[in-house]
Amino acid sequence: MIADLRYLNSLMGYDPARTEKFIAIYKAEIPGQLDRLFEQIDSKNFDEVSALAHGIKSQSAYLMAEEVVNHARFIELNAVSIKDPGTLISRANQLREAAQKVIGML
Amino acid sequence: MSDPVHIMMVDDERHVSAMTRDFLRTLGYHVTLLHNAADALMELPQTPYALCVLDVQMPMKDGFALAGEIRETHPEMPIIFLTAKTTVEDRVKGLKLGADDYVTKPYSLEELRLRIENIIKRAKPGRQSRNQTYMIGQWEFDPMMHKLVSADESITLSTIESKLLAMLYRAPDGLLEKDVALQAIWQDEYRLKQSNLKVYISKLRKYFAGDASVEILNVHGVGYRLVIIAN
Repeated sequence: MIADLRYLNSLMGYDPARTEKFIAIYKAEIPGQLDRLFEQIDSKNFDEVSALAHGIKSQSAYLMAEEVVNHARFIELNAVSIKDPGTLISRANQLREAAQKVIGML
Repeated sequence: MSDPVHIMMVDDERHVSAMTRDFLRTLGYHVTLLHNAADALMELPQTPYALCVLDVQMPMKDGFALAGEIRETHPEMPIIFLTAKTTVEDRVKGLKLGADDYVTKPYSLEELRLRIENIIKRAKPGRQSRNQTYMIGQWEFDPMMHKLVSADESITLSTIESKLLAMLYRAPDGLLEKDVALQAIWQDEYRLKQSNLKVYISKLRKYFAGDASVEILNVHGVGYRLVIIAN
């Protein structure tokens, strides 16, 4: 499952307006956060990479977007220790692909 | 009409936390949302908060460390931790810090609402409205009432004076950096207000001029240090 809107709906108290607002914010914000993630990898600012991945993970967890959450968690936990832009870019590409699938279905 | 219930929420994740703030506001709570521990500690003396909702995982200073500092000055402050961490060790750590409750991320807004309501109901009467005061030399400082009171004098401070004095008192390691003070007080205009800061520091020094146990020192190029000599 790419994402679970029923789960989001339950977290939002079954209020369609809140659910729609969450989706709108997610669609508007995640692409920019992904762009910043790549920029920070390029800049080798690994603390910021970890922080950005943490944010993407947290927001995606509300959608039960497991693939996004798993890639983001990996980057969050390993960015500082790996310090290898190649590995991080590869994983960030997978993250972006997964996030695009989620945004496409919303 | 009952007094509003003030809640401080601290979460580095901005979007979901803003939705949570808006949700709690629709329920009648007055919610201040901050995104890091330093801002939270600056804000804390300004408002009679009934409850703090703290994200555990934040950069620089995590929610557990923040809770420890909050409890130093507000020992009875109820705290709810928001955490993705569900290990026994984390729960024990939180409970040792006196966590009143935990909510695991991603959280249900309704669940958070119920946990907040339960804590508010459990709170002792008067707990929210009791002001936190600080002894500064011969003076008792009440940042919420903007009052500086000694045995024979009572001074009503301006909002900025009160905020600045609270920041001096609460500054980490006793050193209030100029930029931190400027940004906290004047936000976006802070670059234009360098001279204003000096004026307010001078005013505070005048209030304490007759008290040899209190001094506000310049730390050249960095900021100011409030020194209180214990009797």
